[in-house]
Amino acid sequence: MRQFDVPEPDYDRYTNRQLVAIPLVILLLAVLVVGANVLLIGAPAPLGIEFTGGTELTVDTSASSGEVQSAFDSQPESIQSVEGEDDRYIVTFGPDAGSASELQQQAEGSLEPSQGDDLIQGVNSFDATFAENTQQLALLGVVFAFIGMSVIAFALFRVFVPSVAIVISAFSDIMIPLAVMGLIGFELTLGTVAALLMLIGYSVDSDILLNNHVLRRGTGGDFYDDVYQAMKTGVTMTLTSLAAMATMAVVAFFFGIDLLVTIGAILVIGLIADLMNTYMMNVTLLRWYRFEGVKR
Amino acid sequence: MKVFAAIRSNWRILLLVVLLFASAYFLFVPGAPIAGPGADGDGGNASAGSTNVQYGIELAGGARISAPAHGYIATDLGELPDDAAPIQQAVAEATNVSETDVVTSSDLGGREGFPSSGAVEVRGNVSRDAFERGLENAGLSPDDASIREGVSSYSLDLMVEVLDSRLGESGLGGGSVTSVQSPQSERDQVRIEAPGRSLGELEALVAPRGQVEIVAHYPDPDGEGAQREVLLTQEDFNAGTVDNPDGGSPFVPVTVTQSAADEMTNFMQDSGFAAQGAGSVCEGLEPRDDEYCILTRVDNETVYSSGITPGLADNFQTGEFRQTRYFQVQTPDVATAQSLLIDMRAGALPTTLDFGDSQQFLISPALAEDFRQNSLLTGIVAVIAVVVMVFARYGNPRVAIPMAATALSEVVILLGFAAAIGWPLELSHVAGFIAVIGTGVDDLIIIADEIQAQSEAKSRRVFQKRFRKAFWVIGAAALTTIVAMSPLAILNLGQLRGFAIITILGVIIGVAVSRPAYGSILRRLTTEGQGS
Repeated sequence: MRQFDVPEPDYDRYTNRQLVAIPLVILLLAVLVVGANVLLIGAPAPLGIEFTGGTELTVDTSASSGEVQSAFDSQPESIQSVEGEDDRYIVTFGPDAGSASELQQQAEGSLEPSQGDDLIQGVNSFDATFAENTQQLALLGVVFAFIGMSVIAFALFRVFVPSVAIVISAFSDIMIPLAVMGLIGFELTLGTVAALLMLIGYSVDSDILLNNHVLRRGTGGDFYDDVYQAMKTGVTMTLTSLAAMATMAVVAFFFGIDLLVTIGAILVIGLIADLMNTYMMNVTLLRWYRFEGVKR
Repeated sequence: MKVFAAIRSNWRILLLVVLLFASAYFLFVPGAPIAGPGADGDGGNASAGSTNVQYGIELAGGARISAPAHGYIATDLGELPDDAAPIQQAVAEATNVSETDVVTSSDLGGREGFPSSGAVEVRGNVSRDAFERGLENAGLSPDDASIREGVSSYSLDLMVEVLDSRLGESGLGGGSVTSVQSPQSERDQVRIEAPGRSLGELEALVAPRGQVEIVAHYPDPDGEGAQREVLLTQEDFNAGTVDNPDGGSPFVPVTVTQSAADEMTNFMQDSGFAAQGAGSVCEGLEPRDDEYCILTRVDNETVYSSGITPGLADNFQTGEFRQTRYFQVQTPDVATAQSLLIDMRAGALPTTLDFGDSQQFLISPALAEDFRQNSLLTGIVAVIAVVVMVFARYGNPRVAIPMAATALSEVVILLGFAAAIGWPLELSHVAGFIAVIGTGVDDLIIIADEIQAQSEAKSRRVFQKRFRKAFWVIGAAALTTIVAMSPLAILNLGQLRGFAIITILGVIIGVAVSRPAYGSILRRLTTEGQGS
């Protein structure tokens, strides 16, 4: 009852240039978007309060979103209603809106709690200087993680092109979701950083598998056979993860668990990018290496 | 011998089963030897009914405040004189704090966490300029010294200790107080967590210094105005429990130490307080200059004032107080008495917390409960999605069912481990579990494909060879994941840290135990399948 099989692509119909063009153009676009964001707003994507400072209140109130808006002395940055919870709002303030306790008092002073419930359900407040340093620390963490991954990639294969292929692919797998986040205004939080790091892991998984099948197994067989063997396993892996993450994102969205929504959504975008990068860019780089690069 | 051979050929599976049983024991058996606050069985902690898993406040509800301490410390000031009193005086005057709030390495140099020489610390909400001015006035050169905001780790440890016992005394069970070094701020932070409390309650508990003083207020014998003398501070006595007599004000009975009792008796006799103040009536928190009053003061604010009863005055006059050493600290109401008692038992904070630079977190128990159930549900649905995909791909339940079971077993082992060491679970750990299942299933797919490749793995030798091949990929991928995650496991990045630690642990357990075991299971099942 085998229900699906990974189709075998006709790689020989396309030249290396044709195959590599699409992932490279998309990577270039992603880098442009991320670069533009860094220039315009000083970050690859809009930053959440963990990185800018500010306060997030979760309130259960019978008031309308307009009333919630006017309940505070300073204008909230955003008011978000929660899917599946009618009376729940997540109100976000910038770092200048006052302390967490002031905002709680303002809310308690002017909003009616919904029936039999506490008004303030959640508070999350970050000091601005602390948050700014968190930002640098998170950047540092991602950079170190990336460098560590690159070192391992080189140590494992000890040949330039295939190792570089792993590194470029992982870079692209991170850049594309970042660019998408920047475009749709998805905020960068600690949760998204976690998701981007998970992507490094997933990305490297499928790349190592591919490189291993082509370079190390030494069957001496046909290049395309080797690639197809790796693909059958690799695509199954990625699709399984994709299914899990997409489900998690959708379910968590209805429950209003932001952390899991962000992680799921980023991974879905990143895993799709990884399919493209692994089986268009990496395969091509390996093909070049196998048929032309080795001769040099 | 047959048993021995069976064990040898199936040791991977056996190891997995043993770990699963151990986890189940730690998870489900009540009274299993677990560590952490849940082990005490006090009602306040967030242990989750049917299992031994403990939840952090993100999943149990509660409040968390992280804040640095007020103060400055100057180091490298050169050799300080043995008697540092003039320095304390000068700095205290410039910064407008009491002299006891200025400490130096002349006094504390031997203590752990305080610089052994050339250091002056001011404890309180003061400005850097004032501190430097004070040091200059004391004849020290602040320009050559290194001055940083915050307090020594000695003082910080003291704060943690006092706050921890305050939390305990106030009945906030399951709370925790830790000091956190973070590169994000110059000052180390004190992190206070209290399950089931609101931020307001927690802040009210940890904000005050909690300095309790018993002060004598009496007319100046040499002229106009009134004199005040600190009779006792909370170091001078052991407190009993709150007593609330009918028709009187609530009080805390205390037993005064011998040396303090002697000093107090001497003062009462010499100043004439006991003789002339006996039976005095004091009303109002601001006594008149000509009244004899005993004031109960907390953080330099009078909370209660009363006269001295003839009986107690007599005790002082005859010197009997030296033997009884029994004293009542009077308060206006029971609530004040309770909070006074907490302060008396926990002691005073060396300095206050700076809430202006704080991180605060609150989640109501109801919302936390939602998160707990819903994230569990989300995880289950995600696992079902994985199982469906695996079935769709392989169609063979002999491959798919053990795969799903193995991936889940990694989470069970991690949960068991968390329960055993009393590690409170947070939302980020749930994300980590999902990551573990994700990488786990990836690896299991690699193993399944490798072992099943081309033809069925007939002999043990072929199986071993294929297994090793698959394992090279898995090991390499695991190594990369661990390297990529390790900076985050070390850096103080809140949620990310828990996530990274769980992911790393999961990968290690997976590669060392469960994923190899899946290879063995698969081999048994597929070779059996051929035989039949």
